[in-house]
Amino acid sequence: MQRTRPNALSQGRAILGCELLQLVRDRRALFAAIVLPVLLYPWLFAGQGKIEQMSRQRLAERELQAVSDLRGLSEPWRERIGAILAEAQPITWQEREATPLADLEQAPLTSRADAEGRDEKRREFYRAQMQPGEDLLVVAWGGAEGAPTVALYYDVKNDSSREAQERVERALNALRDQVTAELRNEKLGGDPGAFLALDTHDLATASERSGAKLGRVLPMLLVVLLISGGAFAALTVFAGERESGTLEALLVQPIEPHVLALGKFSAVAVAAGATLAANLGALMLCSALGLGGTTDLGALDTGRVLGAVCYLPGALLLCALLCLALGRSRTFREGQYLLFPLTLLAAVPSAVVLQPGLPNGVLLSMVPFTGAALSLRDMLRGEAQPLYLIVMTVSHLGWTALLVTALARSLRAERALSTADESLRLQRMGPARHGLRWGFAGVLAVYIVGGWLQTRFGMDGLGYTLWLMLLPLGILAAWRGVRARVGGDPETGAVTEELGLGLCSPYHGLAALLLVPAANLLMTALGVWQEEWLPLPRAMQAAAEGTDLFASLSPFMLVFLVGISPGVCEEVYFRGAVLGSLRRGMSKPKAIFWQALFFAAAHASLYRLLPTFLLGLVLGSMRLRARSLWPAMLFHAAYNTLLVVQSKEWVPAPEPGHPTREQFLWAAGMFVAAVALWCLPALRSRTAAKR
Amino acid sequence: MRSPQQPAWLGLGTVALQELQSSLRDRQTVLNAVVLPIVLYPVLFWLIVQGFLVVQGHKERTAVQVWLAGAAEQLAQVEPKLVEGTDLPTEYIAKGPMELDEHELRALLMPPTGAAPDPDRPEAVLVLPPDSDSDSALYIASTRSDSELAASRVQSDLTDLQQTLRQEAAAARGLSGEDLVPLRIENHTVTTSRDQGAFVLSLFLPMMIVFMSVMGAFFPAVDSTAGEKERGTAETTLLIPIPRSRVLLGKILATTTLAFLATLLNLISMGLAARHLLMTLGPSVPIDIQFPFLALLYSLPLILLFCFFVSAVLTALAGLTKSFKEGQAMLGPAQLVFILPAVIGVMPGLELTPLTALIPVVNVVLAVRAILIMQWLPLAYAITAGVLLAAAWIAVRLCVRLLSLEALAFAGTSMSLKDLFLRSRHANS
Amino acid sequence: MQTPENPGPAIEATGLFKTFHSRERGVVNAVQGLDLTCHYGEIFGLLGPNGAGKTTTLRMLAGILVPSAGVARIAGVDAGIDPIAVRQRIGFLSGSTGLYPRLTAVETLRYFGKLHGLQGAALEQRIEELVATFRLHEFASGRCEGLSTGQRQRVSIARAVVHDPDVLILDEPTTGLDILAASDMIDFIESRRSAGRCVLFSTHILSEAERLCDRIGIVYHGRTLAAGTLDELRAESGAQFLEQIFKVFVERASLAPNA
Repeated sequence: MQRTRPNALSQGRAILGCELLQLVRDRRALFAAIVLPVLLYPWLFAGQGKIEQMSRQRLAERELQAVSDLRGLSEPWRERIGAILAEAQPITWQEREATPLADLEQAPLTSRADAEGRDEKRREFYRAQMQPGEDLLVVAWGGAEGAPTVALYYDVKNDSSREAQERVERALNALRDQVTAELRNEKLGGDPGAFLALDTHDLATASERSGAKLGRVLPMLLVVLLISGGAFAALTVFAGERESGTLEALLVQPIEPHVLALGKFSAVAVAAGATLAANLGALMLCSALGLGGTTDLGALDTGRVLGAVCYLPGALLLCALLCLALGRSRTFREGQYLLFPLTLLAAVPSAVVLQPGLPNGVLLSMVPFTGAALSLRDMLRGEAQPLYLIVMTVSHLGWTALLVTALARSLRAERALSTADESLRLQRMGPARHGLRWGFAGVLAVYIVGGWLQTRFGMDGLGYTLWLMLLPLGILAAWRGVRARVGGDPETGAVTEELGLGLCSPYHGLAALLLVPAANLLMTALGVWQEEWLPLPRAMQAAAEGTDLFASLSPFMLVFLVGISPGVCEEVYFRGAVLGSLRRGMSKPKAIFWQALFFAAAHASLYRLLPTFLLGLVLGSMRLRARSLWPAMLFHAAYNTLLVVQSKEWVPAPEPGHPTREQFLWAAGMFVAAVALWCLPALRSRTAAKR
Repeated sequence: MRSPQQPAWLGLGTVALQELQSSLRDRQTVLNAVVLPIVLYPVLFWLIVQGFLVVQGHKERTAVQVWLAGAAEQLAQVEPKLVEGTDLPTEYIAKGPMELDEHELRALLMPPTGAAPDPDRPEAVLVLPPDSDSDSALYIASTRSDSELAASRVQSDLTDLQQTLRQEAAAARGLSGEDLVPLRIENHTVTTSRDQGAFVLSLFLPMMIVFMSVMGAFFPAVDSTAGEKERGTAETTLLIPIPRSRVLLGKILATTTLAFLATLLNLISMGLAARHLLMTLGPSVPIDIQFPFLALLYSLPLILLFCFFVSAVLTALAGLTKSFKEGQAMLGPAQLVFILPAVIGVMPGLELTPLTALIPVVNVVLAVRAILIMQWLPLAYAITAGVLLAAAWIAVRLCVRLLSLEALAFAGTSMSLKDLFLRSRHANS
Repeated sequence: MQTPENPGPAIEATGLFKTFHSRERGVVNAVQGLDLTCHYGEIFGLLGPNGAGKTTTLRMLAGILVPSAGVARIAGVDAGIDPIAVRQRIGFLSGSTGLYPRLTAVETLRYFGKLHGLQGAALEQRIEELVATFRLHEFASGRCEGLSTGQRQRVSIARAVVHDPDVLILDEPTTGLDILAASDMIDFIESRRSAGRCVLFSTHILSEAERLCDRIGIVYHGRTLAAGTLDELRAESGAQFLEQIFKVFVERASLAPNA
């Protein structure tokens, strides 16, 4: 019997229909995922709003007690300030002498230690003089000649104390503004800056403003709602299939994996969309009924709200992420564990919309979830740019397609039916897993322990991190790697071999050194380029240069700590232990890629990610080509040392982006020589082989 | 028949240990309770800091154009000073006198929807007043991000300029800046910077602790009851010659241990990551936020009791279901029962008193908060502990009562709440 | 009787190898050099103890797993090259296969029919046929989660043959069934043979194989120790009952030097 291939489209429709039918029939889960939240919202909103309002009101109405000593003030001021204090209601005032405190404050400060001592004396006085139930101490002095001073002493930890301080300060500020204006009139004949006082007119209409308000809330809300609906669907569609034992039956049907993936993905997307619609409807209803309290969305422009459709690519991406993550879990339980990290993964990039005044950009539009969130925000604000919308849509659909392809791959019968223990991925990776694990551990160790050491001990901490942590860790990783492979305690030789500490060809070493100036020039150029699209905040620029830290060290220590130590320790860890282990289970490019990624991540800064990643690629290739760690070590140490030398201005650094002709020629020449030297050992061995 | 000399706690410990062991051998549980917190918080905090920096850099780099309108001589006075005073890419362009009403200004500032960005379109218009008694008017469109940005920059630039003008005027009259200050207000807090840090933490840490314990108890609770039915080991457990209430208590104790462990690890990891984060931010943070290990140590007994209470409630509820999926669907909403009071508990103005100590969950939040800021309220703490214990005991009793119903005890059954209500009435009668 | 599109053997496997890597057990050679051939109108029994590689073999033949080495052809199509075409030609059912709990029997059949490209009237007609053949009337409209084991089994079988496959591959089809359900299963297998189709099934129940199979293959440690009709196997081993035959071959294999 000749069989025609079934139509992929009708297969996809059948899968979608069947999955949706099953989802709708799962009453309990449907109730928990959709109905219950929708029912709960009004209560949540009303309850939370009410209680918050009540507790604030109670605090504002609370009868407070305060102590004052205004004796140090001149007569007119005493009256004036006394009247102001009496106005700050509801506070019961008591007078008590606090001359020691006034004297203390009026004495001139001599040093930093003096300031700290004064803090301590204030605390002592407050503790000694204040009775329980008294919340604020006001001491004032001066005014006979020069300005009077009013000092407020309060306890931040105490709600009542903070409230009393706020009330009194508010009243005093009003007084100060008034007397300042009086004084300016008298002395300067008016305020010369008065005409610069701002009266801001917002030209956006009320409806536009509520759109903007919604734009700040909605992106995060959408993520949470989509996950709450999509996760339940994804779990039913994938883990449920495995649990009911139907996966095998499905996989022997003549379906291409991508049809299967798309069908199931659509079912999840539809379910997530339905949940979203139900929840948003309930929210809108709550808001319309006035239950929201703080979220006043009354005057929304319908057109703009419909524009929220632009979030669709983001929603699809989220559904694809859910499918991919939960599709691999074998049981509901396993999948459930992933929900929290997944929510964070999508919500954190969406949180950029909370930043006021962040303009959209091409690059931001491409970042998963960030781009979609910004587009949605702009749409609701009415400032959406077609360019960014297109970039966002294309990039997010691209990300989605990538994830769905990965999903299809994971649905290939071979993978889907084998248990996690027997998965093909593990089979291919084998010992590389060891490398991945250690690479990740190294990054975390540098980040947490190293970060602590460096803040605790400054530049010395860098030395401790490298020599006392990273180097031993690297040796340990290599030792464990060899032990796992040979099954027994390895010899020293095997470990040094694993680390690549065998001797290298002198030509390779020399070539590595000659490459340094060219790398330096390229990295400087890269820095200029990166500053264009990833500008460093000004506050960080000074910190990034780290000149103040460098200044405290002797030149020798500087070269040792910043130049040579990373060259040795980081190389042993990343190029030695991690790369060595990765290479045993991965192809060359993949192994180099991963170790460079770890190396870059260990530097713990987005701004250094690209440069360090590229350096990691170069160093990794060196290690593998030379079959030895030494050239990479030499290169790294020399490169870092050159940076130190340049920052100290012992030799002229290339002008960012504009090296002098001389610098350029030298670097280029050395580069050519390095390449030639690098090829030399290979040529010699080839000719030797010919002979 | 149980031999009378066998101590009661013996079976209890065995069950608890067995449950604990099987949980800790489960990769998923370990991943969730141990590995996740250790990895999650550093990564999360790192992402937040880096994201913040990128956003900050992007904002600083964004160029905005501000049009200045007003009399020519006024502009000649103000414009150069504004240009000189800004070090951000804010371009001030003097436009001379402008007679525009709000409609025209709106047309100028608000591009029609979907229009391409126009480099000549201003982000804000600053209209200087004709006389020195009136205020300047700043026109912005708050729904345009760059206009919002321009507004904040203009505001800070103008404040600086105002200050400069006043100082210049004072200097011209031979006065110092001091002479123009009629009243000084000083604020001194008598709280040590360390206590201030503890206070900041006390605003959200208690709530986080409640979240962490509930999350930590969630999976072990489902696993040891519904999961057991699903795996088909429930019948074996029922055959153990120990009273059912003790088996249940053993399970609850195991769940408690895991929830407590997860909470601790979460706290420690979060503390370390937060500390690291604050250190990288450096001296720009005015208060000294230190992880209050000591205060947390004092609150550990209460946290442990709370974990026990949560575990008892969740285990009891999960015992009503037959599969992991159902258990989870049931406990999802049940989590809210804990989380909502926790959110309420951190609101300002609510303090731990013997009265508030009577409300479960809220009392834990308030008590941990009080301990963090080192308040000594022995009576309230004791009441809190007592209430938690009593609530946990009620949950356990209820659970034992429910599980003694045969329909529930055996594998493969789950009940709706309606059935449950009806049947427990039968059982009682 | 239908004429198969390809006159060659229905199933032909030569030198199949399959290697897994497991975290606990290291490298597992589940199947190592297995050969077998089945023809149309024949029931072939794959006989072996647990862990002999039966399931893995059947999955490779069904195009679910890709062989590490060797070739599996179903009706002349290479399962490693065009698994989709192979899956169109086979019906596959294993003892552990479940049903969608929230679909009815008819919905299940309709779903899988659609996946095979059946549509409209043709599909409905086929479903009616199956409902009649497998006596699904009384529970056809109830959800599968409420069915008894025997009823589920009948729905599962109907599902596996919804596209009327030339080759039926069954993995331990009678495991866990009661006497009545098992005999239903056996009747069904025989009915496929009389319709001129090929049935390949694996089992570790000797009596079943003895009664049902035209030819038997004995699998042990991922290899076929012997294959042929029961009489051929008797002659080769010199034993009378299948149980003894099986033991003889296993002993021979363990004595022989490892190839």
